[in-house]
Amino acid sequence: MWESIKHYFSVFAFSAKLALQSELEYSSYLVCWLFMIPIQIFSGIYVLKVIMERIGTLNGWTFGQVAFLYGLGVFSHGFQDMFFIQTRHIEYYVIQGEFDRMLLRPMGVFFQFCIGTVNLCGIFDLVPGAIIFWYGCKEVGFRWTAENAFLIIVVIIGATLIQAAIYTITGSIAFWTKKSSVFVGVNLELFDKTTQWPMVIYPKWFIRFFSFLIPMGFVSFYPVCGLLGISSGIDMPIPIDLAIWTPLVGIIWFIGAKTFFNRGLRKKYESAGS
Amino acid sequence: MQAYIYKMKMKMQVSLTYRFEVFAVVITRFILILANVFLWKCVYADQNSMNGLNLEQMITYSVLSACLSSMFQCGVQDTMNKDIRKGDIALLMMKPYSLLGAYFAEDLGNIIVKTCNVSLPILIMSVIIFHVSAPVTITVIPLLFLSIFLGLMILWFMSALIGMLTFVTMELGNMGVLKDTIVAILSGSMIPLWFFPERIENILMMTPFPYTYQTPLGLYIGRISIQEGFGQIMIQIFWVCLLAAATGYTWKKVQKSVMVQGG
Repeated sequence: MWESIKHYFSVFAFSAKLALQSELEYSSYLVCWLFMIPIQIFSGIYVLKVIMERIGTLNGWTFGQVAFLYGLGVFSHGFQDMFFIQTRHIEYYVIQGEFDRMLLRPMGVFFQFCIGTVNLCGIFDLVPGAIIFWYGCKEVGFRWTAENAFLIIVVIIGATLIQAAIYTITGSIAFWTKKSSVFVGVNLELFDKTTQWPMVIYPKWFIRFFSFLIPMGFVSFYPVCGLLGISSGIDMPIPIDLAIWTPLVGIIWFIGAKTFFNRGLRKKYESAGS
Repeated sequence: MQAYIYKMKMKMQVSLTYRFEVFAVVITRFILILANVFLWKCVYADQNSMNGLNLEQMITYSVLSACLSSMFQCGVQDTMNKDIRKGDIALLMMKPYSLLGAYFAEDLGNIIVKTCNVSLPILIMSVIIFHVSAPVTITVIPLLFLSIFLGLMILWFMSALIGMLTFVTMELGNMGVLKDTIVAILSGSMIPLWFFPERIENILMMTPFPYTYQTPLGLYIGRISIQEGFGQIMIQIFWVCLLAAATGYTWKKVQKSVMVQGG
């Protein structure tokens, strides 16, 4: 068991190194992202600030709380960008037959697929995210106890897995249809609006849909409610405003995504080339 | 002229091929509108008016802003980037038409297609589902079309100028996306600039950005009066002339530095 974990980890480290090296080749792209991502993130929160300055609170949420949520949302987006950006491009892998190479190696294709990319741009998300999150923590007086720190870490991991799972599932549709990149834009927009804005602004049916059918609410909304002791206003028989749901939901969805991916790969993948 | 119309038609046919993509774009835009409408409804829950705008005006503003941004397709910088990287630019320049004109014709074709299959559907969907009001008066309509056209020209010349950077840098990366992001914030497309602190608003009014989105949208919802509108259209014309001159000048300059790769 230990040996195999070590083996998998060494493969990960090696391919991460390769991915980073190839990433650094295209520096003009990196420079553009370096400007664009922080501008996008800061302007997103600035818009909320400008609006909230006029009205004070957004359905009971103060700006500090919104910043806390926004920062946390950006974090998981950043980690997803960094380690799972390839899940947005499954269509390309299917059409180009990129999985052929992975199928030949003595390791699970899904694992190889997941470790294949390290996208430096993720850092450009994480830094502004950290600044906004830090500001939010200060404003709401968030106490950094060991328990809270642990919860934040598992929430970020869980939220990253949720995002990766949704991209993998929508991307894997390409195994059947040969086309799935169109969902990327839809996903990006949905994640922006459900994880960086407090979902209290939406009607109940909308929140329920994006919690129990598609688990976007667990990325940042419910964990922040739990961590800051705000009520999400969703009546459920079991308490839903808890940070601990996020890693659970994340793991379950990620396993589900893996199953769906493998099913597509086994049943429908056709390889490419002559 | 025929050559340009042909280019435009070609581009239209290409854009029409990807039907499923169009569907996804419509859905994405619609989600954005839906989220914005809910946000504004929540913001206006306790008040009737903010910065001289009521809820209905605000919803109309954000719906139309999404329609305009689906319509304003300036692909010129990416086309230029591609042509320069592949070295096609040398051959294209020898063709018996103005290359900049041809790029514009292609973009125009794309704009017509996007207007019909993205902007109009989301506008119709939004009119049915949300409360999108009609323009304040009928007399504003000709002004509106004029200012939309001028706004588009401002954006197009900006794209062309950025595209020409490729002659120098050989690679643009995704400068186009960066430009789109900056435009979205500074033009009032994301949120009207009237919400910004007055000092920032005043500074931005000295840049070309607000005249791309905010002028037509403000005219439509009646936040900008017709008299004011005339003034802003004059400023739009000024910016179009200035940017056109800058584009023409730069185009002359960069043509000397064409470098063809490969062989």
